[in-house]
Amino acid sequence: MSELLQQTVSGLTTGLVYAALALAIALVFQGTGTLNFAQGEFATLAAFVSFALSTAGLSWWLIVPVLVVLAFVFGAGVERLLVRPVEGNGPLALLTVTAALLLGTNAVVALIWGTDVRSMPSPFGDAVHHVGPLTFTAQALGGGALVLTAMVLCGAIFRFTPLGLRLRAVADNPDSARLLGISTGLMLAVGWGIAAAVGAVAGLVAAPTLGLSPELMTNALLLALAAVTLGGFSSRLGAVVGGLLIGVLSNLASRYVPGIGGDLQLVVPFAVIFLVLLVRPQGLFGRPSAVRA
Amino acid sequence: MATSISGPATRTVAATPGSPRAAAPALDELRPLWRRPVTWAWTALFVVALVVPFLISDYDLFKATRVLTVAIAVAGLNLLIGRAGQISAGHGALYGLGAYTAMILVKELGWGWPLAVLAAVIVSGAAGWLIGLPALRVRGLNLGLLTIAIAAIFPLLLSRFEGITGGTIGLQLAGSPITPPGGLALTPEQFQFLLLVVVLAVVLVLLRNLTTGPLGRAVEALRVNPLMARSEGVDVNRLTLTMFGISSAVAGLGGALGGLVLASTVPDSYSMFFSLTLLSACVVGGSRTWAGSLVGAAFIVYLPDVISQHIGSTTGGQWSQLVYAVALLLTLFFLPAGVAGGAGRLVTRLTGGPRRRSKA
Repeated sequence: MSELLQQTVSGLTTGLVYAALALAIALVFQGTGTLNFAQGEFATLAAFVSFALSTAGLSWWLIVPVLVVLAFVFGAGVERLLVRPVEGNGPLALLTVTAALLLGTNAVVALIWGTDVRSMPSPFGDAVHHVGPLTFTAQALGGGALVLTAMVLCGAIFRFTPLGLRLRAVADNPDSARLLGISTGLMLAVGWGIAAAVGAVAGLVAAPTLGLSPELMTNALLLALAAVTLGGFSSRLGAVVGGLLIGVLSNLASRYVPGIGGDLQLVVPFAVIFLVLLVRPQGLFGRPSAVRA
Repeated sequence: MATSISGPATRTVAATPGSPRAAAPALDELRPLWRRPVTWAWTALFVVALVVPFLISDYDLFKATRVLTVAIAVAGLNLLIGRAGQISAGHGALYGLGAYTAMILVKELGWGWPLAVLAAVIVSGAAGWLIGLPALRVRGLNLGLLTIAIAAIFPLLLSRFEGITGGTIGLQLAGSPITPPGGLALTPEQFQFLLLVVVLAVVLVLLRNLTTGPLGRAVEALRVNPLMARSEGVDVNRLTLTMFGISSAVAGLGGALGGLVLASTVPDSYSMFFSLTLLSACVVGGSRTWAGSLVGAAFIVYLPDVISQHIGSTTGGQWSQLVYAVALLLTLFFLPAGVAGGAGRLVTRLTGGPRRRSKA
């Protein structure tokens, strides 16, 4: 029993990373209307930048805010320079741009830092804590807290600030938003920036556990896509809940379902995507979309 | 578009090998046979391709054969992206599925290669149909979502099921089973190249006729306006699923021939990045022109060689990947019809033909 509990809890802590990435994907989807295949690679890039900053001797108290700001500028810049030009060309062109961004970012990271897996020291130290029958590493606790903070902040921006209201207005109905004098272009760029910043925190937290390499977030991207599908693309809360569920599910499956093991964990997100599309395409929290003729 | 006048013309054009719809099909089909530049260009290319094997070295031929196998897969992707307006980020996996199916049948069960290739086409087509089933019930980006998942887990499955697939080492044959039949004085490389030229020509003619026929008109309507298509009685979901199935089968055909010519398949060849590279080839070449499949395939096969020669082979793969990405972005921004589509339009403009409005 206590092992099941332990597996569930560690599934939740890895699930937080997927949840953050899923939230980033959902934010971009709600604004721009495309899946960002490159969201995982953006997070990998952020992890490498934080690694470079920490080897340069910066303290982690400084690295995290610097990283969030850099990621925001990067995400907004990508939207402004590379995504905006094809915005009117339909979802196919947009998705192709993000595929190109995936290929390109992955190549740039590999060219700068090489393809070997590096070990990244945990910003939270190597201590291990015991709470009742459960064991937590400091990395899992600190990382979990950091991702949770990022997601709560992001949610608060959307829910409680005038900026968030505008962002939601643009996501909900871009034409009406424009008529109300909201700069939709600016809001889309801000949305991509926030998404990249949340993703950057996910990358920073994932790197010490998974090992730093250009393939850091490749699997996480798939798990996050499954999480968004499960939670529903139109719901931010759904993406987060989906991420946690996917984390627990894939952890339990690799432990208890015979034949899955560590390497086939990816079958879980695939099965989730397949089943959700088949049974409930709008996801758990999403609204079914209807087209008026 | 070219739909209303293509009915009677299709049959005459189909009689000449290698005359798929290219830059200005509408104009081309209106003219008598001797005044169709596009038909002539394809026929000339086909004739040149029949002579080439006797002029260049077997190594160069081997590379060119690889271009042709990839071009088959890209042509399948063209059908999906350019015609049906759906995206696949997983055609590399379907190409790999074709390759593995054919290799297993030849190596483990001792099948003859033509039968193995046929089986691979059927398996890939069926796999495509299964993948499309949940994704195409609701329109949107679901096919992109599901295909990128397939692309990511395919190599993992290959490594895992060692019993059938040989694990990370893959499957190797002592030599390619595609050899010239007795009595033909050809080297294996020459025979393989000629075989692929004929197969690609047949595939392109079939795909072209498919897209200019009734099915093609329905797909065109669907891509331009799904609602209109539905109101005209087109079964939207079934049609898209059919297109994805055909596209997958064609990708499997390319993979099966590619795998058998190489006489080797390894999981690493069919990673997610290969799938995205195929996507890049399709868009850069021009997803709405059949010539684009050849241009795109040549681009992704020869570029790594060129780059390794100039930069060295250690980071060559990454530099090529970066170039694919940049080329893909530049094409999307400045040349939405792709290289072949853009060239076709340029020729039309230079020769003073009336401009054709087309949405790429």
